[in-house]
This record gives sequence, structure tokens and C-alpha cells, in this order.
Amino acid sequence: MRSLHEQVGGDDTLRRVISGLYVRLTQDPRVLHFFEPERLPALEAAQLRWFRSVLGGAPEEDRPDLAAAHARLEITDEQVRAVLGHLDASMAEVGVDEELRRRIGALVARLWLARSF
Amino acid sequence: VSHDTIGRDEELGRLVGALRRADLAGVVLTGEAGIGKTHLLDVGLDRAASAGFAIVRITGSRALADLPLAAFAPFLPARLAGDVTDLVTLRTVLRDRADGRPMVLGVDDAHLLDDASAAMVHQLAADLSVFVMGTVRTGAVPPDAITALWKDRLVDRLPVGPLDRDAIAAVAAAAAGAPLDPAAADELARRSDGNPLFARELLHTAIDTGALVLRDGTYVSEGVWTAPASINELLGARLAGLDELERHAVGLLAFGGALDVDLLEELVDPDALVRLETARLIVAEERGDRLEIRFAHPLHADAVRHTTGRLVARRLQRELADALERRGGGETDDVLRIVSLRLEAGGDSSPALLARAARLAMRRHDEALAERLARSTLAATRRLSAAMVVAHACMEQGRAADALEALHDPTIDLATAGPTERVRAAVLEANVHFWGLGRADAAAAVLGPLTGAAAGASQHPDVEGTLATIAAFSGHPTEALTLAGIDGTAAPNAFATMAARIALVAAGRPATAAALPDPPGVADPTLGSLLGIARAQSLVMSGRIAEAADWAIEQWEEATRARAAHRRVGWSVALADAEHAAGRLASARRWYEDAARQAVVSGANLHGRRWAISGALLCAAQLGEVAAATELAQQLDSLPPHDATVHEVAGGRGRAWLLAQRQDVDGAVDLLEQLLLDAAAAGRHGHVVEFATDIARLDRPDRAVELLDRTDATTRLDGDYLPLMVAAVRAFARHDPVGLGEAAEGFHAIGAGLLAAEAAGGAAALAGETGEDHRTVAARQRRAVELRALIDGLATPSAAAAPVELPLSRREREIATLVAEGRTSREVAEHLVIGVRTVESHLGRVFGKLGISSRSELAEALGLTGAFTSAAGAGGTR
Repeated sequence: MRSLHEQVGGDDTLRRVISGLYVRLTQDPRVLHFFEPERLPALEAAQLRWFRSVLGGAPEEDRPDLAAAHARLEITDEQVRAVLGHLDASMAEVGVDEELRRRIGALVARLWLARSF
Repeated sequence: VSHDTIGRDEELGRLVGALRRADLAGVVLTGEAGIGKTHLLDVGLDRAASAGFAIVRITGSRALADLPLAAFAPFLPARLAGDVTDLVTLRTVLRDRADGRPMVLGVDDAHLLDDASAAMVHQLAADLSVFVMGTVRTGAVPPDAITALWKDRLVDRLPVGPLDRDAIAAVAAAAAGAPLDPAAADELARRSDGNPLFARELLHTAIDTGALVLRDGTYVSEGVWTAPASINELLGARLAGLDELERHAVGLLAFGGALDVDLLEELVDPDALVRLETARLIVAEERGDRLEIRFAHPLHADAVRHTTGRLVARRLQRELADALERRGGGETDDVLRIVSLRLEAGGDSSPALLARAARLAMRRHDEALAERLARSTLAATRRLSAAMVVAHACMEQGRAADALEALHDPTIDLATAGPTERVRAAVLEANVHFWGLGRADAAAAVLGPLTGAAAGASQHPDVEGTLATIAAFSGHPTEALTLAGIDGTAAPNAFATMAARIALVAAGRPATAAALPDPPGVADPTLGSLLGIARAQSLVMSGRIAEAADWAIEQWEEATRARAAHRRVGWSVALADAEHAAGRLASARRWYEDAARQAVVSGANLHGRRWAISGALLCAAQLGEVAAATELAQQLDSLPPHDATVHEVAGGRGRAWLLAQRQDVDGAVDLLEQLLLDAAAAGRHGHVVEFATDIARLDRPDRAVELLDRTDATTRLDGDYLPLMVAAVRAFARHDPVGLGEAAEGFHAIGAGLLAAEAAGGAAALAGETGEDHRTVAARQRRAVELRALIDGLATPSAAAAPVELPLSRREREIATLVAEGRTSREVAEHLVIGVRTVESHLGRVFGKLGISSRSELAEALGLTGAFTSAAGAGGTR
């Protein structure tokens, strides 16, 4: 079976999704304060490694730790929903089909809730 | 519940840790009965709930394992419980419950799930709609869909092994409320094999019998431990201590699975239930808006069943069935449950209830269950009605021979069957012969003695209707119409109406067929669907092509949602017929091929398969895909024959087109002539016209006209489509571009794109030969190009002869385009660096070739305006 990473179109698509995601995040007053402009390149790189591993394009060990990365941030449910919404819109923008977006969205939402298990 | 996880930290960590694994869609705890899987599962689900997950928990149950979707029933609205058969609906229900949160689906005792629920669990996990946390007992044989979870690597299996000695001691201390001394703990650990359930039961028994006594706050071993060696025997011993009323209650629970508290309190003393709950043998649980009672552990139910005699079991099963039946109402699950209980009790369900249960099972597309229910009843009752249900279920599973065998079962007691029932059985048998085995003669032989005067009082309209249907599908429309008792006006019943529609289409009177009213009150969705498919074909052949296509796609979606495989095949083909008539050959072929695949999936639907492959063959042959068409023709040859030949007209035409594509036009025309003469002899005038049209399209219009005249097929045609075909054939034979042009516009108006393009191409070709004026010739060519552009790829010889592009030179086209865009001759001349007079002389030739006289007509003539601007523009620059 093809991995989600392959289905979505590999790193090329992921880079475009993530770049679109950060454009949206840095314009959304609900979440933009989490993202300091000088750290964005590092964040995008980490995000790419995270997605690549989560979608089966790299081993589990290559995955940055979600809980550690967000340990000192206070994040509300509303903010999580906002980020997931932006992720979906960014995937849609680069042409990821609806069913695949639903699956990836569900996976990310699950990993977020389970981050400290 | 803190004691539940004693000694299980590692397992619990791995259980909830699995939620962090991106490569998993679930985890299944495996281990022996009583080892603590369910408690571990519940603690895991609690953890997930605290983290924000939505939780849905279902349980497999031996008592409900035969009932489709029983496990999900508590989560489905009562109104839907009988109808939710598809993943889409279930997913919607679950999504509503999740309210935006990711969901964990708890599946306790997944090995006991009914097959339908198991399939749902697998699909929900596979598409990441839920994360599954389940339990499976070691040594059990789970449904295939559950085994597939780990075979497909969707879930990890997490073995739950025995507890060590210290953990058992801790479990015992928590259960007893005081610690055990080391010797007692050793004894308990040894005897229980590390199984915490066994340990607790042993502990309580030892305390009850005085083998363990409390001294100074510690339990010490005093007497002899008399407990038996197996947990079943142990539980049996404990159950033996119950009083009469309590035994009755646990008996009902053992055979009924989880039961509604209201129902149970009707049957047993409520005080006994309270005592059982206090003794921790049973628990009460909220299920939706109801309170349900079940055993605290499934092993209790096993033990009760194990120790209950066969006669007592029968009495309990009947008592439950009676109570459920008394409660009545619309709970569809109950109907199946009642029948299952009665079958297990060896009792006799009322034929009406059985029929309803079997219909329900069929509606949930569990024909195997329907067959099993009916077979058991047949054995118990020897009734013909039960054999009929078996036969119907076998037919649905594509096993016609088994269906016949069931109807001829020598143990059937025919004395109990009334005359109407016998007639119905004969009708069913005839249908098995015809549809299942493709034998019209055998079907007629069954029904013959029941017709007309021979039948006397037992005559039944379904007999005539079935005979009419068989005649219609076998290609004998005159006989069918007589049997149906219809001459275009009345509609006695559903079978007769369907037969009449099919017969009228074949006879060339599709408009009359389409106008036949639907008979009122057709409840059977399959029959309703066949009526509809017959009407869709009437619509196509009477020229209402778009209407037929819209309706067919709607009905196809409905059949797909309902997972009704046979209906889906029929509607795929009806849609394909409409697409083919519209000239969308590639699309038509895809729909025919979808139907052919479905017909294989849904059992040996031989007729559907032959019908679909015939259509696909015609499309492939007309598209010029010789290899594919050859293979389809071979497929058709390799299938057993079927007397329902009315739908194989397309197959015959396909073989002819295949010959033509191989340059054997004479062979093709000979074949079509033979088919035409056969059709004429049987009164299938509609087919005669189709064959004659093909002969003309293969460039033998004179022969086509001669055959039409000789067979006198054209006198009673109705609708728009067939008369247009006749008109086109005749105009072609007369070398009459005007008549062909008119036919082209007629075809275009009813959406018959391919024939429109071919007729327009023919008109354009004839226009030159017959000396029409220059302008008219040009207009015909223009129209041919336009109509050709509206259909997708095709390679029929007459279409290939049609012009694809306007007959302009490159320079002429270039100049014409610039002028059409509004430039003056001078501007064009400067742009192209040529003389103004050169521009104007080119333009003069363009006007002549296009049959126009002014610059303002240019854009339209070049196809640069209107809806097809971009397509025509792209074509023009090629």
C-alpha cells in the first residue's frame, strides 16, 4: 500500500503545504503570536521532518517530539482547531483531494491529543 | 478501579502509547479469558477520554453474533437501525458524536462481533476515521475483517499475559479489603495461574468456605482449598449456589445477551436482580436512553450455558422470544433476534415472522443469514414457505442449482401449503430456471400447467406476468404482449407492466412503453427497479436520452448507497445505454464494464453479465479498439448461454462492427442481415431498425432500405428516435443531402450525438456530389464539423469520413481569423506584410468555402463565438 507521504505527492507537496500553512498562521490573530519571524525557517524545516515521518515517508525516530516542542506554550482548543483548519486549507490549495485531507487531518488531530502519552 | 491495573503498567503504557504511533490505526489486546483485557481496555479508554478524545465503545456478544450490525445498534437512531447498512451513514453518525474531536472506538470481545459490524470496524480503521482499541480472546476465531486488522498491519496486537505472584497478591488484597499472608498469596498465585479473574473467584470461594480467614487484619490459609481446577467449573460451582429466581434471571441473560431492564423485570423478580448485582454477577449499563443488564464477565454467560440442560435452554429461549414478540414495535433487530432464538430453541416461528426476518436479513444484504434462518425453519417445519425463502436467498447468492434443490426438497410437506402458496413457489421456480440458469423452456414447463383453463380456481396473475416477462426477455414481444394482457393502455400488475415495456421497446414502440403507467404499490425494491430500468430503456429508444441518463444516474447512486448489487448492475447498464445513444462511447463502455464487474461480484448474475459485456463489446468495436473488442467477444463466447437474449442485440451488433473494423464489411453486413431477419420474424421491429441503420452506416444504404421495405418493419414505429433512423437510412440511399441534413438536426435535437454527426457528415459528402450550390455545400461542411466536435473519440467508418476541420488553407484561415477579430483588410495586409488585394481575394475564397457573404458572419462560421469558442479556437490553430 502506498504511504500517505507518497499519496500526497511527497516532499515537494509537503513543502508547499507547509509554506502555505505558515503564511496563514502568521496572519491569524488567534495564533500568530506563537511564531517569531526569525524562527520561521527553523520551524518550517522541523515541520517538514515531522510531517514526512508521520505520513510514513521517514522512520518514526526522525519525528520531532510534539510534546517537547509545545511544552511551554499554553494552547487552547480553539487555537488547535484554527491550526487544523489552516492545515486543511493549505492542503486544499495545492490540490490534495478531500478524502486524503480528511485522513491526514484526523491523524494530526489524534497525534496532537496523544502527544504526552 | 485502581486495582484493575495492578501489574499492568507496561501494557497500559503500550496501549495508550499506540495512539502516538502514526503508522497504526489501532491496537488489540489479546489474552485468555479473565486475564484482564477488558479492564485494561476501559482504563485506556478513560485515559483517552481525559486527553480529549471522543469515545464510542461496542461489545461483541455470542448471543448477537448472528445479527447484522447488532454491535453498533445502540449508537444508531432507532429509526435508522434497520436501514443503516453503509459505511457512509455510520460514519456520519459517529462524526456527529465526535463533534470535531478525534475518536477512539473501543471494541470489547471483537472476536464475537457480527460480520457486518466487524467489516465496519475494519473500514473505519483503514480510512483513519477512528483509532481502534479492542480485545480478542486467545484461541477464539474472530471474523475475517478483525483478523485482517493485524494482517493488514493496521493494528498492533498487544498480548496480555499472566500476572506475577506479587501482582496477584495485590489484586487479592484489593478485592478482599485486607492483605493475604505470604503462604496464602503463594497458594492463590499458583492455583490461579496468574489469571486475576480466577484469582478473585478463588479468593471469594475460599473466604466463603472458610479456607481463608481474617486474623489480625490479614487473611491466612486455614482449611483445605477445595476449589476446582478450571475457571468454568469454579463459576459453575458459584452459580449452583443461586436460588431458583436468580438462576432464572442468569439463564435469560445467558441466552439473550444484554437485555433491556424493563423486559427482564417483566420476566423475573426485580429483587433477584438486585441480589445478583450485589453479588457482582451482573451489571446495569446505560445504553443510549435505555438501561441494559448483562453479566459482569462474559465467562459467566459461558458457564451458565455450559451448565444449563438442553430442555431448560429451550424454555428460556422461547420465553425470551415470546417476551420480545409481545413487546412488538418497530425494533427491527428484535425480529431477527426472535427468529434466532426460536430456531435455536428448535421451535416454530410463524411463517410471517420468518418471512419478515429473512427479508430484513436480505435487506441488510446478509443472504447467508437469511438462508441459514430459512434452512433451520425448513428442517423444523417442512413448510414450502421456508423452502421458498431458502431458494430466494440461494438465488441472491448466485446459486441457482441450490435454489432448485431447496424447492424440490423431498421432506417438504406439501399438504400444509395452500393453492396460492404453491403457485408462488412455481413462479419462483420458473424464475430460477430462467434468470438463474437461462432456460426459458424449463421455466415455461413449470408454469404451463398453471395457465388458463387448466389452472381453474388457482390461477394467479403472477403466472401470466412471469410468462410474459420470460417471453419479452427471450425476444418474443407479440407473445409477451398477449400474455401481459396489455395493448398500450391498461397495466394489470408489476410483472405484466415490466414485460410489456421490454416487449414494446423491442417491437419498436418505445413511446408507448414509456407512457405505460407504473402499477401502484410496488413494495419490492428489486421489482420496482426492474420496472424503472425497463422505462429508462423506453425513454432512450423513444428519443428522451438526457432524461433517461439523469434518471439512471440518480437510481444508480441510490442502488450503490443501498449496496443492492443486482439493482446497481441494471442501472449501470441503463445509464450505459443512454450514454451510448448520446454518442459518448468511451463513457458508455466504462459503465458497461462497471456493470460486468458488479455482476461477477454479486454472484453468478449471468444475464446481467452477458448484457453488460454485449454493450461493452459494441462500444469497443465502434471505437475501433479491435483487440479489446475481440477479447470481449471471446468472453461472451466463454459464458454459458442465456435465453434472455433481448439485451444481446448490442452483442450481435458489436460482432458485426468488429468484422467491419477488420475490413470485412461484407461479413459484417451479412451478419447484420441475418440478425435483422431473425428480429423481423419475431416482430422485433425496433431491433430491425437498429440493424438496418448499422447496415447503412457500413455504407450499404440500398441494402438497408431493401430490408426495411421487405420486412415491413417501419409501419408501427413510435417515438422520435427510430423514425429518425429510418428517415436517415432512406435519405442516405436516395443520395439526398437535404433529408440527411434534416435527420442530423433531428438526432441533434434529441441528444443522439453520434448519429447526428454521422448524418451531418453524410449530408456534407453528398452535398458536393449532388451539385448543391457552393454556399449550401459549405454550410453543410460547417455543420458537420460542429456536430463532430460535440462527441468524443470514435472510429465508425461514416464518422471517419466526415470532415474534422473546415476546408481552409493555412493562409486563408489566418486571414479569416484576423478579419473575424474585427480588423480591416488594410490592417491585415500590414500585419502580414502582403497586399490589400491579396487579402481580399483570400477572403473571397473563404466566403465561398464557408458559404457566407459578410464579414460579420465570419466569427460564427469559424466557430469563434458562443459556447464552443475555446474548443473550436484550439482546433482551428492546430
